[in-house]
Formats: sequence, structure tokens, C-alpha cells
Amino acid sequence: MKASTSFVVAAFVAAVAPSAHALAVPSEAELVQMLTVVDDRQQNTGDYRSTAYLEQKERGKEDTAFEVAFYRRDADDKLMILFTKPKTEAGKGYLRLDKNLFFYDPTVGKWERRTERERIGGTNSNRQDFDESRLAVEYTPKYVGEEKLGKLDTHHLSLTAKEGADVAYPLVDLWIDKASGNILKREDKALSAKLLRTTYYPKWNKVYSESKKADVFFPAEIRIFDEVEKGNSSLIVIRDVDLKPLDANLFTKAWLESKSR
Amino acid sequence: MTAVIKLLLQLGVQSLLAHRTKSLIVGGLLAFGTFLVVTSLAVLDSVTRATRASLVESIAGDVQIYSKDAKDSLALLGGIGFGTEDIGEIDSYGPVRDAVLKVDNVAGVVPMGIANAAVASPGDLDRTLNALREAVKGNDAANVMLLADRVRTIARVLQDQQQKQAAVAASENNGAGEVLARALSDELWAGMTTDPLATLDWLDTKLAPLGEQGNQFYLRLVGTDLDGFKQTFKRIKIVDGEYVPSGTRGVLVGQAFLDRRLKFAVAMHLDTIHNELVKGQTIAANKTLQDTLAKARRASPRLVYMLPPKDLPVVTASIAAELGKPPGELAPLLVDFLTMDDTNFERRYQMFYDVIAARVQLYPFQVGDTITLTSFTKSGYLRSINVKVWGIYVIEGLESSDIASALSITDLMTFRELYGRRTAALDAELVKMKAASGAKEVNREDAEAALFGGSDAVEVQAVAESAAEVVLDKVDRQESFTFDPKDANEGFALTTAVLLKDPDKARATQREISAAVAPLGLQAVNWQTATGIVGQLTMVVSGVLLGAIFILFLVTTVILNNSLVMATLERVAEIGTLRAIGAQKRFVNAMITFETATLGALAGVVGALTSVLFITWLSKVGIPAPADVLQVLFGGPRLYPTLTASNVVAGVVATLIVGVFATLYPARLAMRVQPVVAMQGKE
Repeated sequence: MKASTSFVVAAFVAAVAPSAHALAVPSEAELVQMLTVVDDRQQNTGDYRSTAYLEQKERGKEDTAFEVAFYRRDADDKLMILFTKPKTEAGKGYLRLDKNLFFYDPTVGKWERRTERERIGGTNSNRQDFDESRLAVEYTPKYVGEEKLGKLDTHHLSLTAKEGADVAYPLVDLWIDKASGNILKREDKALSAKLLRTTYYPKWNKVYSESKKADVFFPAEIRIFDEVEKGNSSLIVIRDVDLKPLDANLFTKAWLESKSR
Repeated sequence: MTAVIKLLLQLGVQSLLAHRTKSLIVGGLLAFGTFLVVTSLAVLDSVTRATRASLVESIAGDVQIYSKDAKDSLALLGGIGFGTEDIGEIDSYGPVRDAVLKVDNVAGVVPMGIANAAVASPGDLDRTLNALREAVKGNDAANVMLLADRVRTIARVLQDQQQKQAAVAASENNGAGEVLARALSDELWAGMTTDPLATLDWLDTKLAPLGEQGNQFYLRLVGTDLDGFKQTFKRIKIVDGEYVPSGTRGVLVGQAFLDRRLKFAVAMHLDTIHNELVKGQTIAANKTLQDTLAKARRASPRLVYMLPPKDLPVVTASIAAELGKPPGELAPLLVDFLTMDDTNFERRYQMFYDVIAARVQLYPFQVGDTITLTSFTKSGYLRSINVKVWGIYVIEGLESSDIASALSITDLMTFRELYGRRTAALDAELVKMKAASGAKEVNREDAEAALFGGSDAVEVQAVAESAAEVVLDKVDRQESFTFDPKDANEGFALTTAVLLKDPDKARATQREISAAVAPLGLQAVNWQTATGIVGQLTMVVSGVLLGAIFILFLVTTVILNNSLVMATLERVAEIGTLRAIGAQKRFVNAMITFETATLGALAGVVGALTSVLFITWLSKVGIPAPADVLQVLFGGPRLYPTLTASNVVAGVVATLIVGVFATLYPARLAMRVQPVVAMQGKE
């Protein structure tokens, strides 16, 4: 079932993406399909594990950086972020279970419930940056037009969060690469349409998934610029992606606690 | 010469008596001016003394020393923004202490540091589930039973609320009904025996989101050498618990801060109403008090699960008896109980504390609890640390001021961790991490050109799966809660507080201290400057009062001047006659001036005496401080002003100067009077 869906999606990408520029104004169904492609290319039917480098620059402050390990099980909406470096941060972690986001600090041995908008490790990134892409489920798209981004041709889409959707930003603008179907730029906005942050995805990697029987795409580099606190920015470099099944007990508080014992 | 003075005096008294109305008006003005000056100076001096006593002897010291290179001014009690100021650093406290102790008039020196820390206060359900998890981990069966019972009680309250909402609005409950039903089922709680962690995970992720959200409160911490602090600042008194033992980590929290900011909402609202009723307000006539009472009612359902289950029957019976109703569900009884009026408020207020509050925890923590302080450190990383609350303090005389007790006092080691200086080891580790990431620097301005301007296609690399085993180095767990007391008297700090033996010599001593610490790159400021907005308020109050006195004198001078000009013009014939019989211009000038000076002296004495009586009365009844900030300025709920000889002398001298100054122009007019004009006037 999943494999056939992937095939359909792959066929759609092959059929739609190259010819997208020919569509003057895609219909809403076509736009939703475009988001579905973006989501599906990043989704893995099984588990996901990777490591990442996070860097945060804030005007007037010292730069900070982290190395983290991500664990994701999209089928159950589970996500774990474990901080591994620097030494002072090792063992801290986030655990997302359903709509709950918990933070653990081994220094004091305590768990705290955090909100959806939590700035991961104090950086400009939040839970959604590391979670499964659900654009088609969470947002309603509108076509803005074809635009150039540097030397690249893109589709510019404007998204509005659906009622009741659990999202960090109610309005989003996306620039999707016509050639590859990957997101290149994203603007997150408040309900008032005030621009809050701009994110770039200049590099993408793909890894073949046995469970999906298709390639899974993931951004290799994410650059987030704070548009409210000008001068603040975050960099995320993702590597070492592994799609093998994870331990059944990994997405538990007990597992995260055990890593720092 | 004596004869001249005698004649001037005689003429002066005669003139004053001859022009009684004028003398009374001018004398009255001068006496009133003297009264105001003496009284104002006495109050001003008393305010400065009281504020000094409340702030200097409790936390600030007479002089504070900090870095010359500080970006912000030192504001111990917080500046306008109450944020974290950048006041520079003192790398090594030892040399500063040694330099300051060489200065005479120094009674005590202590190192200090300031940090703002957040304390997370989870919602009741999260708090109970966290405790339940700890009890499960610790195999504490009795506590597991107790806490599980509390979780069920909270679930029942939530279910009740949800059913009421469903009855008035057909809103979707997103499966909340099913979650609550399961949370109250025996089947779920049977799982606590077979698989407690899985059951806890279910409660954490399904039930807990239905409860109220937690919140955060902030503590402004002053970290210090607690042993030295205790010896230096004598006005800090522990009212609950004990002082932090030597060489032990811990925190002391202000009583008024706890009562006004962190107390359980129902109790805090009832306290507010009680305090207003004591001042003569009534619930019937005051809409704000009625609203406050409504807020207390809205917050009351929490009491149902805050009360220990074993106490519920006793509390329910007492409340029902007060209401004259049969015992039933506690939640609606509480709402009825808190529907109070002026006739029953005091009785029920007392009953609330005797029957209910005595059985619940009114504050997010209590003495003996360990709280987690979290701060954004200078290194840019979050730092959390567990600290025991050893005691609750008050500042003697300022027991009810939450501004004065806004600072929580902790040890220097805890402060240093929360401040979190950037270390060379961390910098080196970050450089290595960045190099390993392979990322290049990109500016915001040319990001799109830099990221997408190089190639016609997005870089998509196919990568092979690679295992990413996570192995952590030794995790930085907080294990020790003690330290060597010597470490708190050496090393890193942000400021140094200096208490003086004789505060009257504060200015001279401050100059000496400044000179002593200047080679260390430090500056010394007085307590008014160092305490931030509160201390500066005393300077503003002084400035305003002195400005008002100056304006008063200016107005008085003009009025006096006018009155004396009129009086002089009325006496043209008299002055002309004196000039005709040989009086020199100088004599006329001296006569007019002497006359006013005599009146000024008499009025000055009368004004000063009236002020003495007034201040004596005020020193008994006191001037009330209606606002919290005034309590700090007054050194307590009332200011009891006292008078010094210098206040009286300054008042009388100022009056004489004003009187004589106001005479200059009329005397000049009088000198110009020609005898022939006087004769013409007579005709």
C-alpha cells in the first residue's frame, strides 16, 4: 500500500514537477498535491534517526552550538531529540509524544512540559523543524506565482493553517524548486501577516528506505533567520541519517533518562 | 556704634508696632516659610535616614563597587526594565576586599552577584504525576497510593468541569471524555501494579494535557558570601526555617514577595480584600473588591484536589455547617462559602485560614523544598540547578514591602553557576564542532545569492545509511550541595558591598574607596545609585522637595518685596523727615534692613517653634505610607520624622536671608527719598 502510494507520488513528481511552470494558476487540488509530494518525499514509513549540528547566533551575544541526535517514528507521532555536545549540554533532551513536548535536564534530573513554540536549546528552531512534514494536512495552500530564487525557478505558495491544526505558525509562504520538488525557502508569519522568520534549505540529501521502497529526502542544511530580532540566526546541518527500525522502548522518558546515567 | 544699633532697634520696633497690619502680613509670611523649610528639611532628612536604614543595612551597603567598564549602571533592586544588566565582572574578589579593608570607617565587605532565574511551576496534574513517577521509581508504595488517589481526584474535577461545559455548549471534546473515563477506571489503575511506567506515560500524554497549564515565576537572586552577609547585614531576619548553613548551597526568599506574588490565588485574593476592609473599605461599595472575590471563587475548584483526601470530610462538614447546608460536593459548597459580604467576611476569612489553608500548600514551594532555578547564562546556554529553600526572610521594619524583599538571597557558588561565564574549554569545543559540521558563514543580506546563486540545480546527494550510535561523555549531574566556605570569599563576583561604621562620613569614605579600587579597574557608587530605581527615587524626592522650597522662597521674596515697597512708599514723609534732620542714606538703608531682619528673626523663631511642635506630633503618630515604594522610602509602614538642630538653624537662616534679600529694593527706594519731597507731601 505504502509502496504503491510512493509510486503514485513519484509518478506525480515526474509528471507534474517539470510541467508545473506551464500551469498558469494551479487548482487547489493541484496545490494540495504539490504539498503532499513535499511531505511524502520526506516521510518514511519506518523509523528515522540522524545527527545534527545546531548553531545559534544572537546579536550582542556569544555564538552557541549543539550536536544532537534525532529519533523519529512518524507512524506514532513520536520524536526524540537528545543533546550530545557540548559537554555541558550532553544528556538534555526533548521527547514529543502525541501533542505533548517534554524537556529533560539530567543536571537536575527533572522533566518539564514545554509548549509547541519552544525554542529548541534556546535556538530559533522549534519542534516542527525536526518533525515530520505535514504541510498538506495542516495548511490550505494558495498559489502566488512563479519566482526566481537566485538562479533557481520556484513555485511560490502561500499557506494558511487549517482550523484546529497544531502548528507553530498560522501563515507560511513556501518557495518550491520546480526541478526537484524540494522546498528552498520558507517564511513563517504571525496571524497579522508579520514576518517572523525566514528559512532556507539550500542542500538536500536522499537515502533509500527499505520500508518505503523509495528514496527519502531530508534537508542537509537549514538556515533560519529571525526577522523580528534582526541579526539572530540559526544553522542546522543534518547528517548520518539512518532509517533502520529503532528500539521499541526508545520513545519513553525512561530511555532518555537512561542515556545520561 | 552701640548707640546707632540701639536707635535702629528702637526705630525698628516702633515702626513694626506702628504698622501692625503690614508687620503681621510680612511676619506671617516669613513664619510660614520658616515652618515649611524646617518641616521639609526634617522630613527629607528622616526619609534619607529611613531609606538608608532599610536598604543599606539590609542588602545594599553604603557603597557598592563594580567594574568601570560596565555597560549598564548597577541596579541591585532592578532598573526600569527589571532585566539582567551588564555590569561587568570582578575577576578576583580577594584583592578588592583587601584594598577596601585598608580604608578607615569600613565596617564590613561582602562579594555579590546578581542573576535572574526562572522557576517552572507545573500544573497540579503534571506536578502530581511527576511526584508519582518519583514514588514509582523509589518503590514508595504508600506514596504511590496517595498520589494515585490525588490524580483520580483531579480527573474527577476535570470530568465534572467537562460535563458542565458539554451541558451549556455542544463543543467537541476531542476525545477528552473517553480519556477522563479511562483515567477513572479500575482497569487503568490496575496497570500501576503490572506496568507502572507505561501507565504513567499514558497519564502524562493523554490525561495531563487536559489539566491546567503550568507557569513560570522569576526570582531576582543576589549571590553572596552568606557567612559574611549574615555578619554585615543585621536587618535580615529569618521568619520561617533557618539561615543557610556555612558552606551549603541554598536560597532565602522574601516573605512579602511570596505573599504578594506566589501565594495560592484564593488566599491571595482574600488577603487583598481583608487588607482593604481594615482600611475602611466595604465590599458592598467597592466594585474592585467584588471582582476580587469573584476571582477567588473561580480559583476555588483547585482546593478540592489540593486538600488531602483524608481531610475532605472534615472540611466539607465545617463549610456546610457555616452555610447551614447538608454536607455534599465540596466544589459548589466552596463557591457558596466564598460568596461573602461585609457581615460575614472576617469570620469566613478566619475560617478559611483555620480550616482550609492550614491543610494545603499555599506557595509553589515551602521551606525545606528543593527548587530548580534556570537561567540563560553568559555563555549563551541554559543552566538549571537545584537549590534548597532554607528559609523565608523579612527586612526588619519593612516586613510588608514586597519591593524590599524582591531579592532572593543565595550562595555565591549557585550564583556563579547561574551566571555561567564562558570558558576557554567551551570555546575550543565549539570550534571543533563547527569545523566538523563543514558549514560556511552566510550573511542574511546576501543569503539567497550565496545559497542559490551558484548553480542551476539544487544540490541533492544520495547518501548511504550510516549508524549514528550515541555515546555520551560523563553527564554534568549536580551531585554536591556543599562547598568550601573559603571559595565564597575569593574568586569571581560582580559587585562588592561595603558597609560603613559612620554613615555621616560616607562621601569622604566613598572617595577613599574609589581611589583604592581604581587601580583594579573598578568604581565605587553610593547606595542611592546602586539600588537602582528605588534608591534613585530618594534622590528624586529630595530634588523635588528642595526645588519646591526654592520656588516657595522665590514667591515669598516677590510677595515680601511688594509688601515692603508699599510700606516704604507709605513712609516717604517719615523717611524724608529723618533725612531732613540729618539722617544719611546709609542710616535709612540700615534702618529698613534692620527692621525686616528683626521681623524675620521673630517670625523665624515662631515658625521654627511651630515646626518643632508639628514634627514632635508627627514623630508620635507617624506619616502613613500608602504605597509599597513609600514603605521602602519611609523604612516601614509609617515614617516617624525627627528634627535636628541643623534643620532649625537652616530654616531660620534661610528666612533671614530671604527677608533681607527682599528688602534690598525697598531700602534703595527709601534711600532716594529727598527731604523736600517729604515736606511737599506734608503740605
